[in-house]
Amino acid sequence: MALKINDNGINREMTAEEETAHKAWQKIAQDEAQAQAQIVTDRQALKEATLAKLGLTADEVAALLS
Amino acid sequence: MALPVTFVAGDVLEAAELNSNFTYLDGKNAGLVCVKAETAFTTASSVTADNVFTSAYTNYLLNLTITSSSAELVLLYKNRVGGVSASTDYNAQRVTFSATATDAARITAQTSFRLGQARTVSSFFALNIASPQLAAQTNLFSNGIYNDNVATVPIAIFNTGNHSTATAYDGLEILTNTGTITGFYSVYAYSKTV
Repeated sequence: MALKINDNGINREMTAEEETAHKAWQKIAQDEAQAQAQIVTDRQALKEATLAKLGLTADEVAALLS
Repeated sequence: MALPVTFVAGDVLEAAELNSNFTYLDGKNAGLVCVKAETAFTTASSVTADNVFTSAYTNYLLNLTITSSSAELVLLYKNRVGGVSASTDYNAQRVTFSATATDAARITAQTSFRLGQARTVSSFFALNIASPQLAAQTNLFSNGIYNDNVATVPIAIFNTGNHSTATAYDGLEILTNTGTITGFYSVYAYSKTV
């Protein structure tokens, strides 16, 4: 089933050319989103490792900083 | 004569008073001018709007409501000119808040601007688009709400950034990185005159 586009207010199926271009771009966009998610994951891992070293919970650290 | 002239039941409406009220109203400009009427889209992977940015206005506001999406997905934005979307030079700084947790990231040299996210429960984003019609960097700022599949888990998102290509654009495209979206949008221009 062809992908759909709302082209200036008209709901229609993408042409074959549009769909090929869109899917190629989506692959890049997914890679970009994955790279962004990895930044967050790495940050969370660092946070948890640091908390473990300190022997504190996240709530306890938040209470210290409030 | 104090303007606007107001009337109560039984008053005689005189031509001069009516004309004075017309003159009074003619001098008022709305703060926001709708340049793209509310437009619905259904199970779309892409939504385009051409010829919405003009030299008549400098800054714009896109209101985007996603009533449903086929999957957890990212909503993306591109500037557009002559019916062709620009796919380089988008830079962003984002922050997401979920309960007491926050996450932030700076992402540069992307193929689109991350406008927001959507899951199966409805979401809403407001994107400010600064100077897209000027041959200069377009600054972008969106904030919005999406829900982690249930309405009782709202998540706040703030995305700031820019499209650093110094080109004048006349339109926009909203895309998904996967799946499809159903909803509606409208575009407003900020008035430049009193």
